Amino acid sequence: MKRLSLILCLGLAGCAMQEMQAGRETRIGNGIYVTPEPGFAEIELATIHYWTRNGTGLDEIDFYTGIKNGEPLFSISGLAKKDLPVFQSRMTPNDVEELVSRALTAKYKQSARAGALRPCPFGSTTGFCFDLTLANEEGLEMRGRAIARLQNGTLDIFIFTAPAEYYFAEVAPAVDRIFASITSN
Amino acid sequence: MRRPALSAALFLFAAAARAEPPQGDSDEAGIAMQMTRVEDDIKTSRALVRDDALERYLHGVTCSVAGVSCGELRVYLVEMPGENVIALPNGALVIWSGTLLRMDNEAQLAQLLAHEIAHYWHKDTLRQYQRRLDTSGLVALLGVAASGVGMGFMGTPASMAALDARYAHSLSEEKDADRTGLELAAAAGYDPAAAAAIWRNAETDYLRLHPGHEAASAIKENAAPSGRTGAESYHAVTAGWQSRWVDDELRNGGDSVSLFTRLAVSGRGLFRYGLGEAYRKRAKPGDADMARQAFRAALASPDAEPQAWRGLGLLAMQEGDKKAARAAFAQYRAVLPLADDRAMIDYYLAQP
Amino acid sequence: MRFIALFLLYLPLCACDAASPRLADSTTISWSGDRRVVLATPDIELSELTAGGVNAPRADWTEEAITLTRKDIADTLAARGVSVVEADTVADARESQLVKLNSAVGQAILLHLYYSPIKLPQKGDALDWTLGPGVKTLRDHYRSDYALFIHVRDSYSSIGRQALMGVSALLLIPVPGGFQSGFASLVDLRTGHIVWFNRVLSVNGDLRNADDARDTVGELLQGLPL
Repeated sequence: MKRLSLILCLGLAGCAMQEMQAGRETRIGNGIYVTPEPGFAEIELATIHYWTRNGTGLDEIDFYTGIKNGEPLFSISGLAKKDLPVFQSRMTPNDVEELVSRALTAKYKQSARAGALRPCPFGSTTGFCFDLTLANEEGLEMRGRAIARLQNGTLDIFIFTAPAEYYFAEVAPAVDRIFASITSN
Repeated sequence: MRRPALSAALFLFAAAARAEPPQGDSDEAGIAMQMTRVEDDIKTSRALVRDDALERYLHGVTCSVAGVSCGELRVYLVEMPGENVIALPNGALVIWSGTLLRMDNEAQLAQLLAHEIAHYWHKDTLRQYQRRLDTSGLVALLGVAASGVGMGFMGTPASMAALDARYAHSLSEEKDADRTGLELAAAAGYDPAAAAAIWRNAETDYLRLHPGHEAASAIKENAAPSGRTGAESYHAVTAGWQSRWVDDELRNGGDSVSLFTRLAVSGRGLFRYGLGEAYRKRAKPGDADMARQAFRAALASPDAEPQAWRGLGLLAMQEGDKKAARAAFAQYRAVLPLADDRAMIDYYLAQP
Repeated sequence: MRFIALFLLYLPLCACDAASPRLADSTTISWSGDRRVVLATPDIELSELTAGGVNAPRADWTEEAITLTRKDIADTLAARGVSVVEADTVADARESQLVKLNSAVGQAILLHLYYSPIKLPQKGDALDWTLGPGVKTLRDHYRSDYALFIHVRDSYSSIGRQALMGVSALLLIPVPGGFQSGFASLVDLRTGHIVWFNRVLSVNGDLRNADDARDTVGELLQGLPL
């Protein structure tokens, strides 16, 4: 889906990989700001919003904000809207953890598992974090880390994924600093 | 009525287009190649369950029903929710882990394996793939095999069922496999009543894919129990995995309530917990009470399932009953001090 | 992956060469011992594009293509005085992960190095990607300083599809006739860095017969600094 959207963005005004300015707070959405680390580029196109240092399909921080009751995290090619896993306002952090593993499983058609659910600072509130073990469509092992908050019945969540081989360990420290830099209204 | 000019033009364009598939493609040779490739993929798949004891056990059960042809067969267990056993034309037998969750004992598993081995002996699967070759003019074998062997989660349970249904065996093939399967299992000393139990327990989707068992089910249901069921050995070897497989089912989407309702009849704590979670997630009117009931039953089982404390806690939290939530979470922490999500539960406990 | 190739055919793009190799900055080939390159099992998948628009993988075509590709690469490099060790990376879980990583990195390179609107600001026009030091596994196993990776996805029309194309051509409706996309990379096993990368975009090669396979391999290996 992402690659297709990126190709389509050729020639559209305002569509490009924007370099993030390290150290300069930037707006993510829903009153949330983060401070980029050096080397990250941003792509924002319709509902797709992510940062990457080494490129699409390698290390990615995907941003999903203001997810409402009944909405999916992201669309999945080949799955009808009614079959997408959706967020529900009654979900607990445990349920959100499971939602993410379900959504990633459906996306890559490879089982994704989550664990080590724990509270994490999310701006001025306490949100939660968890770790991910997954694979891409071709079976390349990946690892991930998510940070999220539940507020007023909506979900804000950032999901970092990268190949387990080299890339996750290489980029994770910067991602931890980015997650730690979250400020919110 | 066709116009000659149009036909000629079509021919020219067709000729100018990309090269055609090579001639002289022997169906069987082509299929054999596909199957070898699929089996290679299974062997290195991250979905393959790697457990020596479980592998040896499954191989043993397979051999006991397959008899002398056992040497031709390789058995693979892949992590996949749902029920399916598929025999590839080259002798590879693939079992979805969800199947093991649904089998009550070794006899039922043996019946299911015997049924698939019968299909393999009758070359039904080979014909199945050949039919696809003939009727659609194309080979989607890897797609079929991939959906059958569960190398990836190919879609929703409903769409998977629909895909499998397209490649279902014919009614006569199913009836023959039933007959042969029953003979094989009986010869190996398994209780024939197990065969009826499988189809009685099977979910609607699975029955749609495997028609023709109504007769077998009816006959065997009234048979006096004879032969072994192997319940203990079965549970011993699968016990360590079942919690994970229960999580896979709960995470799979779709309605797990009917699955766990049936499984929970066994009285096992883990399955009652699964039922509780299925109700809690579904959250239809009345489900919260059913969830609570199931969680309490899970804790009252001889093999009490401690995760049910967390279920009760989450349920209470969702209902705004802080006191009940705290009590349940405290119990969870006491019984599972090393729970993976303990930091989160501690946070819930610390809430005012 | 097929989405990329599909659109590559139908969008007007710059740099539409059949092959366009890139070298990482300051690449100099050096050998610690024998001039030997390990060839990872070519990550090739040939499919049949059906009238319904579905890609049905054909293992028999794929096996044939892998065999031909391996032979042509070995011949080509032998002529340059470099011996090729043919690795069976699919048999080893770790090594097949490295092949999959190369495929993922290669796709990132295709997206961000070859198409200007989505270049990565930090990398720009430079070939600056790595598989990481974990490639040591390959170095130790095959005792080689460099590894060559091949990645091809190709699709060929079945007869049904061709008829459809014929009709569509008459009606001036574009129907993809099947496509080929592929890339090759040379990795320094001492560092994990990709020192040479080449992408091929060509509709004419056919990896299933020997002559065309030789041509395709020739295109894939263009600019290889060995």
